[in-house]
Amino acid sequence: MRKKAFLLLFLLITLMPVFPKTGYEATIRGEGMFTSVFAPADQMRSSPTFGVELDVLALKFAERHVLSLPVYVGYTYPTRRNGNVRLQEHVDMALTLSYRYKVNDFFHFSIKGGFGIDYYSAIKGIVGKVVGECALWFLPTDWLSFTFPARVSYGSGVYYLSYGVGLSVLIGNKGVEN
Amino acid sequence: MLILLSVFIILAPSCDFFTPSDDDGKIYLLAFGLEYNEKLNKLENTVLDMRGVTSAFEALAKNYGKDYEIVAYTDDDVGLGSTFSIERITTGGIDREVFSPMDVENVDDELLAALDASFSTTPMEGDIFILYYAGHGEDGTGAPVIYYEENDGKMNYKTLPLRKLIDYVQSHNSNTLMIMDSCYSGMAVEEDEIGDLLDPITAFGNLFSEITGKENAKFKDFVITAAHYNQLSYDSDPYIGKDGSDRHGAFTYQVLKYLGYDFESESGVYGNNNRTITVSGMYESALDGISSQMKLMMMPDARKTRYDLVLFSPNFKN
Repeated sequence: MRKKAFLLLFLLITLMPVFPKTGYEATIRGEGMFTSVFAPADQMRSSPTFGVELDVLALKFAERHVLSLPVYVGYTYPTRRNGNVRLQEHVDMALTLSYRYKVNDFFHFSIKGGFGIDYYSAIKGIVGKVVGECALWFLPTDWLSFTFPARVSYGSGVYYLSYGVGLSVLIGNKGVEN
Repeated sequence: MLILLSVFIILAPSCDFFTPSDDDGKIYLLAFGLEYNEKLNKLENTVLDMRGVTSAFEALAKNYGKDYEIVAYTDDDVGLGSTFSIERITTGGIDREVFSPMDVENVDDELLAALDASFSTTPMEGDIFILYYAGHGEDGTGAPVIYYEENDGKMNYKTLPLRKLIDYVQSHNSNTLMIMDSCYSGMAVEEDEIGDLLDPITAFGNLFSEITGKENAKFKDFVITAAHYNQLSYDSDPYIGKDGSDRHGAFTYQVLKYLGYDFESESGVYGNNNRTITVSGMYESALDGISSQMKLMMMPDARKTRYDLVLFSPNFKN
């Protein structure tokens, strides 16, 4: 695991000299989503999820590409019931590898994948999960963007689907212009 | 157009039009309260625990407008001339009948059959079947001690194997909940659906459970217990020092408190129906409420699952 993490960091660092135009940026994103659970034998209703994603070192290269390791922390309310059962409230955290492509100054899209955990505080239980997400970015200014993420995660036999809206703010930028 | 489409996509799954509500179900409660006698380490508070739990659930069912059936098994001496009785608790009072097994060797099967027959209907999908047990748990197995008799000055006791009890409870099509207040009751906690906070390796080990062929989560069955599998459960929590804490088991006291029980009058409280009462809330309440000194000796346990069973709710959709 440490070896893989080292290789990943090495790759990020070595990309800078490989591509002539490199830089970095830092963003913070707040988002509101609805999360649905697709369990094998049942289906819960959707539930509000609020989260913050910190993307403090995004590596920009070759003008249109951004690679980063964002950290996400979110909170999901209990779902509405289906019958007598509902999904408990939980905190979810994820570390992902993200790639964003800048189509033009106004529109970007991104994909990412990684690992995370859900922590169910009432029952003191945790679930490990894999996470995948794609998002559309609309940038009315060079420091603010509206995002429309759709996320799928899977853990212990259950799929979750989340989608919603986010607001992303550029808090640091150096190198290639957006 | 894009904004309208986004709003539609966001709201669609939360709308009843797309996911219609289920009807509210019925509550079935099967309660055990066994105090034994001096030769079998008499328990002081278990019968009152059982009476408290039945009273609390009866009041809650009425408060929230749910139909209910309550059956209890006890060795409380109520003047029937027999040690054991089965009670059917209804709005009109308590109907009692003596339980006297034909075949003591198979008393567990006979008792389960008799208790099952005491319910007038069978729990169906949408209902909730609750088992509450207050009594001794056998050392090493956690099996409830359900019957005893004295032969030639020697006490013989019989247990109901935990596996048999779990299978009986979870064989119902309804949601089920086992509330076990006995020594070694953590033995009833099995097949965690998710990992324990203190055991993250299990959480990630279950990550690809479908691929590895592990059985998928059981959604309908819930278990909470007074203690872990290797711990005793205590007849009271002397460190709490509040009204009723000396008359109820350390764990059951917290369960009753969560259910809104009135310890002064020793009965369920009528009229209050503005809370959502869930299994995770009950577990969390017990975990937080038991004194830190007692938790060194008995730590409540539960089947770890990401789902929650809503027992009562002001709006059943919540």
